[in-house]
Amino acid sequence: MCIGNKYRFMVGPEEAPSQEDHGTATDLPPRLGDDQFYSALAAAHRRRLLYYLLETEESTVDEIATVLTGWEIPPTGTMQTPAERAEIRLQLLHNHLPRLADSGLIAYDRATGTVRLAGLQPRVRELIQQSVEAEQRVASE
Amino acid sequence: MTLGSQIDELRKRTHRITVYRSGERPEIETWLATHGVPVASRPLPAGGPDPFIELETDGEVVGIIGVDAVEGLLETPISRPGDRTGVSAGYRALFEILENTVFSAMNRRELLAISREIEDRAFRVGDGTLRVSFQTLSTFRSQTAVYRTLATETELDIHVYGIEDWTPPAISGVTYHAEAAQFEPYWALAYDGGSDGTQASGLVAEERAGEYRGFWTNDAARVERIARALETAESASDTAL
Repeated sequence: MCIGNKYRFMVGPEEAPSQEDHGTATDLPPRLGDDQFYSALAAAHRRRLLYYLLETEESTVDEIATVLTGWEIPPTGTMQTPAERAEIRLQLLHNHLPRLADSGLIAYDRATGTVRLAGLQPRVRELIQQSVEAEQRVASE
Repeated sequence: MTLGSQIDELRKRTHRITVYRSGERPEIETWLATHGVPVASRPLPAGGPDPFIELETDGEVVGIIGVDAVEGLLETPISRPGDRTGVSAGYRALFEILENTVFSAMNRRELLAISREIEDRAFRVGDGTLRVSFQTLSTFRSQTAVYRTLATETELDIHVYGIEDWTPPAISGVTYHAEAAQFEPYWALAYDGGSDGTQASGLVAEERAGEYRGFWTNDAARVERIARALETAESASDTAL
């Protein structure tokens, strides 16, 4: 089963995020000891936004507003309205994006509406991933 | 305004649908793409939200709805008016969000599903006027039982239009209009909503080379225009059976 050295860091039967899992305890990113980092992550919308950017690297305010709105579709499948999306878009512009930009996690160009993920260490990426995936798991239980 | 020009008017609108998904292309994406609606897709992270679609009309977001809720588009026609079992909520939602969108390459089964939705609304309200054109009266043949139910169990005033290539049975509450050839390419329904104007709904589809192109609507003003187009021909030829 072991093809090449891609699975070198796999230790258990579970699929590990192998490509990013090559940090060791000695190279902890300084960000993980920074209050501002945790306060930036202290809102579900911001964690989800970062999680989405981990996939796309770059996006726009409009697209992120759509993704966060789509994320809130209830299990009953009810349609999310333009008003609900507009509300999220407003929160992005006035709160979430400036905060994330201030904490250095994203680069946000107000003029073009472009949002880009900053270069993040694997451990930081992992933490963002785990925070959202843990939340999804709780929601689906 | 003729039925054809009502389709042309709506064709000027631009619709754009974006499917956000992490996995395979869902059925609805394929359906929309093959029915003349521009559809794009954007990737979602695997641990993120369930796939959903965003609909924009003339550059404005109209709604965001889960893919699961809208799968099976036009595949679960109501068997009888009033019998809603087996009709997904998503189908109703799609009827709402995709109204006034001109689709191409629709088939009779799909038109029948949309027609059932309109007939069902008429049945539930139980009064008002329902006008239908199934192109030829012989097409109406398979619908006779449905319309007998509609006419006898409600106070609806029903008008059926079509080329007279078959003699339909007399049903109290149903008036037949065997019209001139002008309706031949059109499959159309107009229900005015009766005592509940919010239930007004209509459909116009034009047959071209075996496929249909058209739209459905919940807009009372558009429904009235469809009704008027049908009515005009009625008074012009006045060949009620």
